[in-house]
Amino acid sequence: MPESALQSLRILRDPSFFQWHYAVLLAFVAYVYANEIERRNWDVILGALAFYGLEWFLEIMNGFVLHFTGYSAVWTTTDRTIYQLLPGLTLEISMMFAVVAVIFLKLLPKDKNMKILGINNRVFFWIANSILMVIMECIVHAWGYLIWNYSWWNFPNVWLIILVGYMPYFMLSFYVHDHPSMKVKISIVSSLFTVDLVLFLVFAIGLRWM
Amino acid sequence: MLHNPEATRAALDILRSGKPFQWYVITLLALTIYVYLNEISKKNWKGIAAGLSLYMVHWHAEIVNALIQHFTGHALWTVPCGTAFLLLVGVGVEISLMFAIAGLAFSKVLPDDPKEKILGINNRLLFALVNAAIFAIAEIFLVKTPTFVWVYPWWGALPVFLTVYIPFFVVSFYCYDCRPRTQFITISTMAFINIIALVLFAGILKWI
Repeated sequence: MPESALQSLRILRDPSFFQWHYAVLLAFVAYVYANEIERRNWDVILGALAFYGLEWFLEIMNGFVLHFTGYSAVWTTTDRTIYQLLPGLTLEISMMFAVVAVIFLKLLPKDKNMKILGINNRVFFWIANSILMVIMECIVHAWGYLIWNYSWWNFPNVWLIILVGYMPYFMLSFYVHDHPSMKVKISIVSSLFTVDLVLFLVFAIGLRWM
Repeated sequence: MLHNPEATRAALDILRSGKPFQWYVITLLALTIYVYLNEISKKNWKGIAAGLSLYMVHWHAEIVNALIQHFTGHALWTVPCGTAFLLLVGVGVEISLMFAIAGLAFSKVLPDDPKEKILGINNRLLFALVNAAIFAIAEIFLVKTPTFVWVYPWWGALPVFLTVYIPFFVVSFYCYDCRPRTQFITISTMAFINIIALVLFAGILKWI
């Protein structure tokens, strides 16, 4: 097992690294969502929660990769965090994803059929946003805080990270955002969170596989 | 049997010391100012009143907690580490900024009608109780970290729920619905008491 994987397991859900700036970060996240609730902006809220729910799902799958290969997760975070939630997920990253989804959804054009550079704007933003997020990941990877231990999920072969690592988030998030039925939106989000919660409680907290 | 009484010494060692300073404080401060400026630009005076009133009660509680430390040897809650600047024995700059935003953020999810009932309970009271419970439960997890200590064995989630967090949110939501003049008098009176207490107990007497 590479050192990065061992290190991520050593600090996994260890509260001794906690720092108080987390409290303010949480308050800002709460403020962002409260602002949208105040405006009754349910499309953005539910779209963002779908993004966040899927993010947790993929992080849990990433944890399964570590457990079943006995080698490494696909992506690993190892250091400079106040709380390591899963092998590839820190509390700070989780807060960032909770907010970034709101930001991207607020920047979407109102007309879902509008074209940008000849492409439907939703498809354009699936691709553009995913590339932007992967550029950010490459920077953090270059600094040594986001570790990629598999050659097929690594720099410069980042196309898989764009296609599998990020594009599904935006596809689902925009789908939920644009769906006309509130019932469908709520059922997608609540199903995702239920699955995440059960998986996390059983495999992370109960069985300690990740 | 006291729990981790050494935490008091550790907290007093870093009290208002510049040594643990981190640059993120500047960013967090700027974001907090942004939150308030955003609400001022929307003329959301009720939300601002909710935010500032909770913030003033928070300072009352922290000053009382620090005075308890002075008179009994230990505070009810202590922050021995994990902060970039310890303002008082139980509050770092990060916690204080969080409480500066909390009342404002939570006021945004209040129903428009202050008399509306949910589950047979007035919605303001229900939201105050629920929010207070969330914060008190969060403290159960925080005391598992080295950054937050309840030294006295009789202090815990229930006393903090009843004596700290319920007043925070009741005052905040009461202020939210008040007339502007009442809001101004309530907040400025609390601010005045806090400033006098800080100047006297921290600045002059150096008790806290």
